[in-house]
Amino acid sequence: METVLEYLAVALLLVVIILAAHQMLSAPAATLDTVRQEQLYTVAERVLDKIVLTPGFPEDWGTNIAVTADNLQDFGLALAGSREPYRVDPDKVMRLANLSTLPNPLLLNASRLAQLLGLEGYGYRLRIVPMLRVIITPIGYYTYGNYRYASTFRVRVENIQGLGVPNANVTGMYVIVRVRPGAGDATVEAKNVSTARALTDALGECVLDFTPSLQQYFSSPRNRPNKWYFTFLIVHVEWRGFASVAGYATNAYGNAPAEGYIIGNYVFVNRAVDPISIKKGNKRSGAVLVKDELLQAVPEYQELLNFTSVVWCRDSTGNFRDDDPLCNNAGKVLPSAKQWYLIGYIRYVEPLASHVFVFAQFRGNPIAIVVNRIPSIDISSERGAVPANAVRLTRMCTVYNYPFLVELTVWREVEGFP
Amino acid sequence: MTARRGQVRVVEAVLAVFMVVAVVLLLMQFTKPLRSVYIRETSDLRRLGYNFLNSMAENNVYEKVLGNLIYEASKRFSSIGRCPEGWEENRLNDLAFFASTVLPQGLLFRVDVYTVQYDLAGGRAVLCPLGYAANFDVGKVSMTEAEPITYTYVCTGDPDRVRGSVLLVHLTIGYSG
Repeated sequence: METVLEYLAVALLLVVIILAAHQMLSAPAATLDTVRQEQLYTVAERVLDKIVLTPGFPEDWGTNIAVTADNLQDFGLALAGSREPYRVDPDKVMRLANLSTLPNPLLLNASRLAQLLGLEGYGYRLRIVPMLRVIITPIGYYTYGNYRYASTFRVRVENIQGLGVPNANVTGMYVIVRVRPGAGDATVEAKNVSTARALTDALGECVLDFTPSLQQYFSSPRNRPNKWYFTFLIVHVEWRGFASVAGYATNAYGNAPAEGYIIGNYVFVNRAVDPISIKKGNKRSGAVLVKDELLQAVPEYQELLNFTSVVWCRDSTGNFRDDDPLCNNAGKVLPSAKQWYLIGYIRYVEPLASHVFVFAQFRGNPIAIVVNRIPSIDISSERGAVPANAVRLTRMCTVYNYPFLVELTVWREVEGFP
Repeated sequence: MTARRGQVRVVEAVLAVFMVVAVVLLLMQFTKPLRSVYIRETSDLRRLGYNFLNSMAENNVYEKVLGNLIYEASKRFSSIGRCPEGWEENRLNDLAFFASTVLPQGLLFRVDVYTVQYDLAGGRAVLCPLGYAANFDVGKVSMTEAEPITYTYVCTGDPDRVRGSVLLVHLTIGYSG
């Protein structure tokens, strides 16, 4: 009987020890969620610091077309050589942009970016957006001869959450470049800049009307319908010291491809666009750089425009030109881009020009192509993912002198959606 | 007699195991790891706070938003030799709207702004409050995970009349509930 009791007691002892061991092992699981989330925060902070505070390697990977997604060794968006923190290089941001109308020939895609940032196994979303977003909508048109120009615009200024910003100072600069068509070279005859100012209302909107300016301009006998007119609009917004800028191709009628990329000195536009050769005086001139940095300081708006020449890498038969060393260079680095884009080499790119307007032709009509050098970026490893457990961090950065927000959201792939 | 002793040992062993397990479990309740949520969030809030104040400084936002108040406070201090009274309760709505627009959603903030005035006769620096900006009712809501940040700024931008004024900014940024 005593032996039976002893066996029972030992069995009970074993059960208690097993239960205690189980309890001890499972107890830390209660705090595991917090620990895991802390890891996500650590990862997100580390990655965001790397993105906005390091320049990557090679340091000039934004402008160097020889650096592609495959041979980029280290990723970082900081402006190389800058002494100020949170100063982002716009040329590097351009490598992340992918316009819906035209794919980026040197795109750094989401999966390669994840690889470079060590984010494999995590889902992420990276947004780089201006602190003040400017949306330009044409609401009125002016017709002259065969041409139709957007002349009245609704400008909406909103923050990152989409809330309208009231009492923002909006300055619109409507530029018309008159060109005399020629058999070989067309010639720039004159440029005209009209300006309009307005304050945004309680909803963050205002209207800029250039119709009277256009009427006055085209009523002059010098401005005849047999000329070419390249027109574009630059909108500068200032609110409590924060500024933003946007460009708009006012003659982008129909489905004219009015956007492009600048990588280094190379401009990439849709292959449906035809290059034109334009001279200004004795100099070749194919593009306008807008020095909008000075918009507030320089009252003479004409001085904000710099003409520069473009060497187009397409011959008269429509084939890629290998005879020019500049074109040949791009052709070697980007063999596929030769067929899918019209490539040009801009002789001089103003470092502080946020927009470049390139003169070209589309189906026989002159168009100004807007190249925004500070595009908004929204890239995600998984489209439309709504992760259950994510960490989102935000930093305020400067691109040129414009405030931008860099927002990184990180989650675990196992916790997110496919 | 020997068998009985053996049974007592077994009972003792069972009791000892119970006691050890109970003590270990009790200790485990008291030695939970620190709430890592607290550590992580405030560390990021501190960076975000400095980033926000610095971004405002780089864009001369303080001068544009608080220029008139800074000028008025300096003028009064020069004439009466002390800070205007009751200004610490001023609601700086412009600054609050600005911060709400720029900072991420879901954060609570309170910004207290002071100008640093110099009493040359007394040989001392005096902090004159300009007011505060907040996006919550400071009397009713409390922050649970917050980070205080102090920032000093010398006005360098327009309007010209406030150039050279020194500001001391206290930002408290955190979460509610």
